[in-house]
Amino acid sequence: MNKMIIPLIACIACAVIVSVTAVSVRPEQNLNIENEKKLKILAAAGIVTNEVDKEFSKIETLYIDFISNQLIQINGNYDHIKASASAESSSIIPKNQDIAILKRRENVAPIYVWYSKEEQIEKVVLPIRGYGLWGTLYGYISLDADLNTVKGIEYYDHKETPGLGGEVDSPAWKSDWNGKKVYNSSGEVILYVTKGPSSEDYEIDGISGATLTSNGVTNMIRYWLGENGYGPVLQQLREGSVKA
Amino acid sequence: MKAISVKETRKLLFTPIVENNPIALQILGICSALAVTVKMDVTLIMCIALTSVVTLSNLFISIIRHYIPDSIRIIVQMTIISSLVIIVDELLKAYAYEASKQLSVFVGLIITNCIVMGRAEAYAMKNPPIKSMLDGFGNGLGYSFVLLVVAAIREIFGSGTFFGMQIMPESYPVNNFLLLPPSSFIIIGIMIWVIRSFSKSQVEENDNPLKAHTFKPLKVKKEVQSG
Repeated sequence: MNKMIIPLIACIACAVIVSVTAVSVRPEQNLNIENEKKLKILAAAGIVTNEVDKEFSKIETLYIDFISNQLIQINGNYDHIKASASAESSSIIPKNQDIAILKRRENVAPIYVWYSKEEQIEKVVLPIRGYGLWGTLYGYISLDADLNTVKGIEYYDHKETPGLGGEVDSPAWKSDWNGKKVYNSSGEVILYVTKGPSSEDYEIDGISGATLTSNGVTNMIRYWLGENGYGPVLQQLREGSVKA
Repeated sequence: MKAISVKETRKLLFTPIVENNPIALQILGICSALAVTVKMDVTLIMCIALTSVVTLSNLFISIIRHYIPDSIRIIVQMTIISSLVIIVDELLKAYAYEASKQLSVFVGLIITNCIVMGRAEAYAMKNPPIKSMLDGFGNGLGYSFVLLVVAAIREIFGSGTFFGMQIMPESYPVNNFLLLPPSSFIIIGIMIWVIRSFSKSQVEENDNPLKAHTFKPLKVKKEVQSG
């Protein structure tokens, strides 16, 4: 028994030191993650910059209430990912609608809007997420002033295989999104990730060796931009029946 | 505790760089040498991370070496090493976020880096703390030396930059081969060749020499056919 005392103390000491370090650097890490998200929002909209906060101050954050499909006001910090995990601020998605395999959807989600000088929407960035192969992909998609043409897409967190599904991060694949159309004339989401190279303006290049990731991307686009996601509010904004 | 002479300190610190290099002679820790040597700045952070882990793990393991029961020594070593690696990983995530994203799993994989385990088992378990620490630091320097040379070659001739600064003419095309991991194999191979042609003592004896070709016709036994 005596022999085990020192190793035991060493283990406890290690555990304590690791925990203390992890807890004490958590604020800095969270700051980095927040900054990363902001960078990705800007990157989705095609803005590459070092002055994140300055660029970010040009954006207006609006909130969409999915239950009433209206824009609402929220003051202070609101984390929609956190909200989607708690019972009060989210709702269960019925199985037949849950194509992106999310289980719960937050009741309110932020959208990021750029306005032109004439108070017109110049572009928007919408948070999207959905299940790929190994886990949920978290990202942003950016739409142009017509709220139909894609500007760009960025993922800030995913667990896909590097080199295969991980190619969602590759500049070559992301560049294929620019200029693609989300909706057809009757307002349905038709954009999808095809197999092989894309030929139509509602097709995105498939990622070779990553069919399930590609399908996951298609499904999250269909879900979030569809009628259970941002679709109705985007429609109202397009028609001008709602002033953002 | 006995003081360590200058000569011995120098020996502990500098023999692992060329004469007894962990990568070039012992061929340990190759996997991170392949994976994280595309850009100098990332490589430098990896080198600092590994050097600090191997130095401190050698120190702590050596301090408690008399009290570690033989049967569980690997577990105790792993506990200390992995704690140090987690601390390094957390610190990188807080203060060098960009680099930590690029290093991704390779910081965590320092835990299984053969150099760290190898020095703990081969040196720190048998030698006093200060000497072990110097040995760990020396081996970290040896690892860093190889990684930085490989990274310099790969970054300069691969993407035409050095620490992100453009040094090749703008027209220099990106050399994709050097950006991919297999090129490190070739660069490390050439480094080993160069080192061994200067210090012959590193050349290993050929255990399985090929038979010299002979021009004599082979005597073929004629099979006696019976019946």
